[in-house]
Amino acid sequence: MKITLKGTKRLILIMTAAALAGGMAGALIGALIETGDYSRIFPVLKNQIASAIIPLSLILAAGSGIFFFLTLRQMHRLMRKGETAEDEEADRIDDVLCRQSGRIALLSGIMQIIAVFLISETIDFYLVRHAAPLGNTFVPAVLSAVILSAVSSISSLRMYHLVRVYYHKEGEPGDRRWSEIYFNSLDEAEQMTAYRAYRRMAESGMRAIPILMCAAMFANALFHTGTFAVLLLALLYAWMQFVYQHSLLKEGNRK
Amino acid sequence: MPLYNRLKEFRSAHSINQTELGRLCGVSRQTISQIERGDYSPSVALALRIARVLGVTVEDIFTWEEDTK
Repeated sequence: MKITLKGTKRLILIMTAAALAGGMAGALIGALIETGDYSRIFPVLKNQIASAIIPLSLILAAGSGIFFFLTLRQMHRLMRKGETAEDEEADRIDDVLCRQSGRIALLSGIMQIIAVFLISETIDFYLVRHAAPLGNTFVPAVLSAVILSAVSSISSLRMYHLVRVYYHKEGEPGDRRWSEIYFNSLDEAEQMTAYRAYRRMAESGMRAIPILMCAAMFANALFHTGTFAVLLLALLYAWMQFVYQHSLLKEGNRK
Repeated sequence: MPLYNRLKEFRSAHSINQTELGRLCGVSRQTISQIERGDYSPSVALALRIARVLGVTVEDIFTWEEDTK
């Protein structure tokens, strides 16, 4: 019988998430009981998240670093196998590689978002609002954001490099207009696949933006979060519409 | 897409794998695989290139469903 660690890994992940969520909930309830003011649930919750975000970021960076390392090593091993594999076996390897690179890209994107959020909140807290003297958590917060960003960037670049070499494509991320160079090195079927993926991405974006705009408006009405997010989303929506219409005109007039 | 093909059959008859056929036609192995599975309909230029490499006509490899009825 083949023993796999798939279930164990999932169990560890669930247990860690549950422990973190439980710890935060416990701390929140404790803080509320201590103050006795249950109407302050949102400020207290915000404080809990703020105090937990640095250790959480470091745990995420460490966990993701291990995940990236193991996945990239597995991808490298599969690619070596794929060089000599034929037809159906090569298709199977391509499927696995595609899933693995997708996981790396997704996790890396989430890490980048957290890093940006962390650094902007830290700058806002310490340097704009001067809510506390520099020190305390300033250095750990900035360091966490840098580590998160570095781990995700290095892993994404390594993954991109491996994929590019394996599929004999051109363009390094350091090149100017590298995505254009990469796209031009794809053959017709690969370009069609990329077009389809881009179309789905654009469709989901155009569907999500109005929903997010409504959510931002409600958030502003209920919690006074400001209208900046609504304005930003409206600009993004208008820009996407403009690019789409402009591209239609440009493609239609091409001689 | 009612386009059927006998690419795998002709490729096997020539004893070449997808990677080799892809190299001869100037496309990737994945593209040949997608065409064989019917997931992608090649352009006229690629269909002609494939037919030329395999020494047959485009109609030998690709068939429109209505023609088979």
